[in-house]
Amino acid sequence: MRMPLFRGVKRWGKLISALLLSSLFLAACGENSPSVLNPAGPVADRERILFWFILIVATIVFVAVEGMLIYSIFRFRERPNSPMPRQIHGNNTIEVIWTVAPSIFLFAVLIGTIYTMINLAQPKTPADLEVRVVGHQWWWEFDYVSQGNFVTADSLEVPTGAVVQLDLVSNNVIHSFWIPQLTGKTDVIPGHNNHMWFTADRTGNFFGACAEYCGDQHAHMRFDVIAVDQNTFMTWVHTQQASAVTPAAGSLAEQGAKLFGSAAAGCSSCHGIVGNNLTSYADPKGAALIGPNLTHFGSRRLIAGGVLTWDPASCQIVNNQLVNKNNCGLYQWLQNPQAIKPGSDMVINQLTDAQITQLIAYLESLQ
Amino acid sequence: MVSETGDSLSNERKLVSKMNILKEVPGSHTSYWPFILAVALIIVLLSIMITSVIVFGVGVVLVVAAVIGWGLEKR
Amino acid sequence: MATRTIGEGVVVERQRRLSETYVGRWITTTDHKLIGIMYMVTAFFFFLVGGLEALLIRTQLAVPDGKVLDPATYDQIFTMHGTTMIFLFVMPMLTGLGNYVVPLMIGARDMAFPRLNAFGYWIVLFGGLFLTSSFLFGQAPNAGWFSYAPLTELTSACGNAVKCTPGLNMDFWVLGILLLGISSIAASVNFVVTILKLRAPGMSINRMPLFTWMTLVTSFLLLFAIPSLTAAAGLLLLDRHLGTHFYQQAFGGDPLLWQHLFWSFGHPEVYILILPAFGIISEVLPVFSRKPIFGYTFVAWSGVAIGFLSFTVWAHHMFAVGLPTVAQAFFATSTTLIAIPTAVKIFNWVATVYGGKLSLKAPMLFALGFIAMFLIGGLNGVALAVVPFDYQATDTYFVVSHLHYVLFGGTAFGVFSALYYWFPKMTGKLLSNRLGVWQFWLMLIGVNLTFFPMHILGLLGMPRRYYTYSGNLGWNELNLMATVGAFIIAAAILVFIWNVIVSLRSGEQSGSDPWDAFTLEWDTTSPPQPYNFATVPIVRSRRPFYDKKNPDIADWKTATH
Repeated sequence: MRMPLFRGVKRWGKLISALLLSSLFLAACGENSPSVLNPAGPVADRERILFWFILIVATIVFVAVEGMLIYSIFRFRERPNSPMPRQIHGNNTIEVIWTVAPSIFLFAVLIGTIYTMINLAQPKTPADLEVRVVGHQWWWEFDYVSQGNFVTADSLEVPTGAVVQLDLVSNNVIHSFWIPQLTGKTDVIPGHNNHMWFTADRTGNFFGACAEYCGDQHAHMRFDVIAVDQNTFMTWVHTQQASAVTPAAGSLAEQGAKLFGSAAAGCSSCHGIVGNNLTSYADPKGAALIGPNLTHFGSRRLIAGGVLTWDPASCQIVNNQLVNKNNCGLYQWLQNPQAIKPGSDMVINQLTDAQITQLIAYLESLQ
Repeated sequence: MVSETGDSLSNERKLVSKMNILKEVPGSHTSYWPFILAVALIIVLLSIMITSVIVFGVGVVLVVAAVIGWGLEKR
Repeated sequence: MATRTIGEGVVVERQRRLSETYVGRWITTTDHKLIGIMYMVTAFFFFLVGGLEALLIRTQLAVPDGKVLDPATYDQIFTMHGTTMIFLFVMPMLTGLGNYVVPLMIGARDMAFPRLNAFGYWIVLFGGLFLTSSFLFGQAPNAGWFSYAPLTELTSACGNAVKCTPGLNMDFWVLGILLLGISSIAASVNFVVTILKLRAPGMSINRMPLFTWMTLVTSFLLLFAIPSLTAAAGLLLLDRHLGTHFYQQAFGGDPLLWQHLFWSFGHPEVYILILPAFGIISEVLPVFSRKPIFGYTFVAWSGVAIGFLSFTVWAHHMFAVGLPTVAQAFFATSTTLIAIPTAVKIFNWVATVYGGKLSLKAPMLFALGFIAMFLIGGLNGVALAVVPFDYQATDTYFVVSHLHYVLFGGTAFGVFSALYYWFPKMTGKLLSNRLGVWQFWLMLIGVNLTFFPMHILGLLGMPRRYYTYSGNLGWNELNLMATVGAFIIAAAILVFIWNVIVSLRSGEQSGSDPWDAFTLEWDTTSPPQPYNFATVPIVRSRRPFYDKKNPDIADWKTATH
């Protein structure tokens, strides 16, 4: 029977659409999600405002048109004795109306679009911080151009309220640099000098990711943006500019330092540490190294483009042994990097647990 | 005309006879040149994949032959 | 060997020709109806292949840190999913439908170039098999269906890291695409000439059925868009094998050249994928509303407008690459403009339904579902035209949601509407309406459950083409929801396959005009005779068959055209 089916359908239809629409509001919640709708800076904020504007317009149009459609389906369903409908071929007046009306709506949107675009193209004040961002396969390198060219990877520390200018560089394939809560993305294209800017309005740790398919490990090319207050930032800068701490004589970390530079482990053939195998950040040997600079690895949080996190608490060493090695991300990485991130450049000889422990002790000391 | 092999027709030939007695159905003629040209083109492409000049040559010859055959076919 | 004598009781005999064996008939046919069926069956087969690839993707992404597919395999699967669905399902399916229906609709006996028609089909079959055979070598294309350079270059172009595409993978893609382009050009030329020259007497251009109109516009789009793709792919082939440097920055080339060339094809391509579906809807809605299409002229010419405008919007796929602000403003404007004719069409369809006498059979359900789903896809498309928002949403799951709403909720629903509508004409049997209703609801629910959460995933920061994701980013439930939805869609497709099997075997006889339709293809037997029409029909309005059945209230008596 047709009638009950449709009544039931109407009820379920309302329920399902309510569920689906309400799931949209989950977007605003998304507790630990890097949500575009939860901005922490003016660029992302303006982009978010445009989105809400669009959403409201789109919802009105959707309800109107879909509503008319559903109404028509129920109202004009064929019934046993319904007559043949009037054979209307069209109506020019209505056509004009519904061509002009959406055009007006759409042009209003377009004006908002172009206005915001022009506004966002350049910051209002000159840049306070300039960082050269290099996209590798598959990790991000940050060269703090305006703070003496020290180099770090995976973590971009910035002071709140500052205008940060990024120069985007790649010498391999196209990547895209995206921090959802701070700014929309800009592609990193070999041969092109793309720039972007953002400001972080509040402190926090913000998710960043590569957003242009760049090969097998595109999914593991994350980075962190860490916004701190100005004083903390300057302290951090001074620490980063300094060479690596020389480990105490006779310590496990010292053994790690030696292992780092040795041929047995081979670390120094790809990674640079200022104070170990590099004399300074400007050391020309550094430019030829294909891996991230590890001078202050200890103070970072991500390993290898975010495929694992570096958490000293889960890598505690007691009596020269890792307490719970399988909980320690850095152990897993050094033990078998190809299993964690297949296809990455980190192809190394098998290291023993003892060697890994020494390296972890050393890396932890590189604050 | 009676069949050469004897007086009873095989089933297959019976079928054909029936078809020919009916009026000839108007419509586009069948043709095998499109199929052959498609195969020839695939051979050319495959030759680029496996980088073989011989196969490429064979393919090109087939393409040319197919195009000529297509062109000369009665429509 | 054969002689023929005219007269009674004479027996003529000859060897059975190759073209008269069962297989031979299909290999040598130039009949547009048989070729259309071959196109559609092949396209459906590749739909299943692409669908399987989709299910693999969704299974891998159902939970965080999925281990179903390793990244190298995942890359091949998602690349082939896009490539298969676009080039081997949608395009051949729409070509096949057009092939079958358009000559009948315009009162012609066949297409203008029957052998070219057959050639176009065989190329699709061999090209598709060639492309898919790459899996057998474990080297399926793996750089995305859009194949951005320089990722698609061979190793030497890729900076220090050896991570371009060293194997044969992209060669399969490039050669497959070049081959399929030949087929599209052949089919387009055929359609343009057929539609412009072989219409029945009295069928002026503005009396053609709208499906024919849309097929005509689509064919012109193909003729102008495929050359861009051919150029792009050809240059890539040269870069890979003959030492040129078109896309290699280190030697003075530019990766963006690929993007401009590709999207100059890619944007008209998406209209190529949707316009015939617009045409299908414009045929089905009037018949099942028992009244003519509202605003025929506007629907037809908005299709033409979309065709022209589609060549002016390509860089809206490139808003994040760093084009100058003025250029971006231009493309934002053209993209906004193209939304207007699309909106006009939607309003006209709703006005067709309004005031009608709706028969909610399967073809109509899919057509109504099309309007509902395409509307969503159109609205989130307008969102993407808002450039600053696009900076956030591009290359995320928001775009995946958009493209699937328009291509699945749009084109695929249109395709199923067409299949339910014209199946009786092609086979003489009706598809089961009961199973059709089941399929419709499963698909509607499945599509929404799969793709609606993706809007949110995009807004929550999930980029595209990730083979896995961390469990601590709040993306888990939405991904699982999408996977469940994908399997519901799969169930719907199984229902359809079952429907076809059961209906072919013991479906209800349809007769020549099961839907009491309006256009000429229904004025033939089901299936039509090889020659289509015994006498060439004469046309006096846009609904010639309606006129024939209702001579007192015929359109040419009552309407002003």
